Amino acid sequence: MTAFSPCTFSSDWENFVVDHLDRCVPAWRLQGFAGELNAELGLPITVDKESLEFPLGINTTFAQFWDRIKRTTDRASELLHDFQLRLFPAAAHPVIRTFNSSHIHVGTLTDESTGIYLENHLLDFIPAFAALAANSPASQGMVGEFKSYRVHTNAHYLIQPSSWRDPYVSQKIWGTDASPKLEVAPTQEIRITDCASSRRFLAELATFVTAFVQHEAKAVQPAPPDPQAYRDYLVNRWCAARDGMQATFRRHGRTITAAEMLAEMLDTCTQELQALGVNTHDLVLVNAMIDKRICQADLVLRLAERYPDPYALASVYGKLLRDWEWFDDYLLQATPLDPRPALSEQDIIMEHVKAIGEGTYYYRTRDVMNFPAAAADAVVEEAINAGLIRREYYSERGVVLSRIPSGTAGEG
Amino acid sequence: MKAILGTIDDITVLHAENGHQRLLVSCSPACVVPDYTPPPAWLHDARISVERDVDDPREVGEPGDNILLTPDESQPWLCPLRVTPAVVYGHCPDTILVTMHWWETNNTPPPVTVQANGRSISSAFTRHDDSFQAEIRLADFFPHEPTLPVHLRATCHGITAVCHILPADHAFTDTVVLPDGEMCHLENSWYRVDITPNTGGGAIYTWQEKGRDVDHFARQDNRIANPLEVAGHLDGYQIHMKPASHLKKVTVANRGAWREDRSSHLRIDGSIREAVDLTTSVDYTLFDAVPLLCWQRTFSLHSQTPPVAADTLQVPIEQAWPFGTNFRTSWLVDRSETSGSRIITAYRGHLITIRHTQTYRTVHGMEWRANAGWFLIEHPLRREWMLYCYDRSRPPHLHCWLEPNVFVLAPAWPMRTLCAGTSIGITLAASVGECAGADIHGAWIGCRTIRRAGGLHCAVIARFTGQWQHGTAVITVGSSQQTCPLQRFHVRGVGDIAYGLADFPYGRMDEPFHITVPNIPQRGEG
Repeated sequence: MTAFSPCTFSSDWENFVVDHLDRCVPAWRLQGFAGELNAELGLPITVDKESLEFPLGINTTFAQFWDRIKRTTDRASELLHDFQLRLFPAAAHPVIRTFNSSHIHVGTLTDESTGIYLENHLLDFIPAFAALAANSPASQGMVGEFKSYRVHTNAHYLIQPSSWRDPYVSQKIWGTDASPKLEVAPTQEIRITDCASSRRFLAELATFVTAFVQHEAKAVQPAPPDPQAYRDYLVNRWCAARDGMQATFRRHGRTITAAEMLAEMLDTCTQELQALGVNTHDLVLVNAMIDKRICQADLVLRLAERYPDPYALASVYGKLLRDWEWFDDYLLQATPLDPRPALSEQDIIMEHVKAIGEGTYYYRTRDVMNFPAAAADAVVEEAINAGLIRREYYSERGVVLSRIPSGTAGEG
Repeated sequence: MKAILGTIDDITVLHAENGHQRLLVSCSPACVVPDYTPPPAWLHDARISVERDVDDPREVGEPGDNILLTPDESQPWLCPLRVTPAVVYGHCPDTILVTMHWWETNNTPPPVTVQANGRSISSAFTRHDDSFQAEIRLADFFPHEPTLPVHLRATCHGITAVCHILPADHAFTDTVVLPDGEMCHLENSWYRVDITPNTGGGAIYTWQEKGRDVDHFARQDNRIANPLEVAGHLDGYQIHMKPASHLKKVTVANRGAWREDRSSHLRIDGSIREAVDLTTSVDYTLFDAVPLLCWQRTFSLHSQTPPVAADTLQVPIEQAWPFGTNFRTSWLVDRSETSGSRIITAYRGHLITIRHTQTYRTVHGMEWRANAGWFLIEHPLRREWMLYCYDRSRPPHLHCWLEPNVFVLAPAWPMRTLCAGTSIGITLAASVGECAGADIHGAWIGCRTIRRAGGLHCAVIARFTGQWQHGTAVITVGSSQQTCPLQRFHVRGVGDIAYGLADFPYGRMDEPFHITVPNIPQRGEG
């Protein structure tokens, strides 16, 4: 029994387009290219923000999907070249604010309630996909604090962490990490994934995500909310955004590295992968990323060390992105990275305290790890009790928090 | 801050070892980043060479691709003619050095012509490393010590650079040409202020404290950016639902600077390319006696464009435009784990401080208006403070945020309805200094400068939150202490500002500086 029938998948792959002066081209100028590609390729290609968006149709096998990726990007590149334009396939641009994704749609889903239960069930695993796809370590002048600024900033509210939902008491929502969507393409949309720069990686990622989601859907059951598991999901999501494949997650009171978790996930869905026409070992890049704990963001960060100016980074990065195998080549010869330690409870408090300066609105602490009110309040209370911050109430300004300089605890 | 984006003509491998390569890249200038403007005329046929160390030659690309130079690499090409020194204070040097960074590899540049004091003298360049130099004797222009200011204008191949010899000990205003562009320069014994006449509709580009030789609008080295977006003061406006615009689209129509009543004045008029016929003007005043700069910015709506078609029904609301004024000031951010750049003001008996830690997270003050009549901006780790004063009766909403390495204050005044033939404006007064105080009762700035006769001249500028308060400030330099009564100084459009002055004939800039103002304690470094 499966929630998905027939088993299909796709990706909405957003690509920046830059002109010969390295500037991002606005969406309205790209509409003609989208229309031509739409007509030629029979795919609903469109535009979004500064991007050409490639919805890659309904696919049933890896080979079909891989062929569509190549045909679409090759033809798009040809059309763009005539106007001295080129694709800039990245989840973030070092200079501008926009983020891109490769949303992965797992179909065919016709029961929204099942999709909601599945979304709850997937919370344990979603951060692992974020770690694997992390590819936005340089955005709008910010570099290196996070391997996925897109996930950390929730793409400026174009994605949001999933909530634990019950189909009997929930409203329709849009744009969470992994929610069901029954309009247009009836699918479970895994939205947390950053835009891929490597075509081969996108093909492998989408196939892996699809196989795993289809596998998990077989066992999904209604379950009551689990606040601790939900909090762990949010902590893991934050770790995935910061550390990419070097992240270490919390799971049921223990820790597990992102690489270990992904390896387990890959092992569980071998049958579903075979149904999509591949074996586990065919996912060459995904396996190498798991072995070496490297994601696409790591390659960009290496570049950013040598090109600290965002404009300079964008220029060089754009040239390297023309080569679809840039990441693939690097990955296969790269030295493995070490996992970073899991966050302790004290680390979690201090990450929240870092967000507090002086007169900081209470809700800024919610931006840190997206904790729901009760969990966020608990962290704030602990920080207050530890003498790290103070809280003030103003009738017009609301609740504001200020950090107490070290050495003056208790004076606030 | 600006950099050349070039089109690669040729790439030569200079050195290769263990996958690492040193490349010599020859390119033709294509544009200037970040504004993406055409390169200067003298670079139209130029070829520029730069070296790049790469692990992967794809980072550079191939002929036909772009290469982005750094600002440091670009500077000699964007400003190929330089005069050293560009600015001198107090006396004429014996010589000045004119340097030409010449782009034609097979030719030498034509002679440079220097003009001053009604004389014009040409001099040939001689090669010096990768540039050409000519030494100019000032005695050939000035048989005796001239009255300052004077300007020596060097011209070569249609490019001009200027050496400004400016008075050291008295207030003046003049137009100067610096490597960053043409500036309207205002100077008193405390400050040197450069206003951009042609960009930003008259924005404050540099604000230098003379005593410490500190530019409060210093910028990060060798980073590509629009200079006024990373440091400086820009007035702005908001019309209908468009986001705030900061006078980037102003065409300057008129400008002039003059001295009057012991103060330096500057006026800039411009028209704004908008959907409506909008003009703007700004009047700056820098007072000789006190460290205070005041300015009034006005916007005038003349007529609605385009003309309304004859068959269109006219209703009054179509003649009205929602219009708001604002400004945006940015500084290099000052930051440590528990301290850094902050904004301080008072509101209903509370001292409000805002210090950001998260980039691009704006603090909006839409529910309250900053009615203290002042903002104190503090960079405690580098000991720089700036005090903004404005009308308390119609205060702005506070907006502020962090950008990477940049701290931004952007207050916005509530919008009004503007009709053709009407004007709207704001008046601001501001002071910068090396110490400050703030409390619910007000804020102050302390500043000192070196006296011509030796020792120090010290000042305190204070702004009270409520009514005027009589009082006496105590200024301490090292072990010397002086008291000075706070005197009232009325700035039209802003209100009363207090000031106190004291001379320390034996004071030195390296001695501790402390000021006591009643009820307003001095801020610490934390």
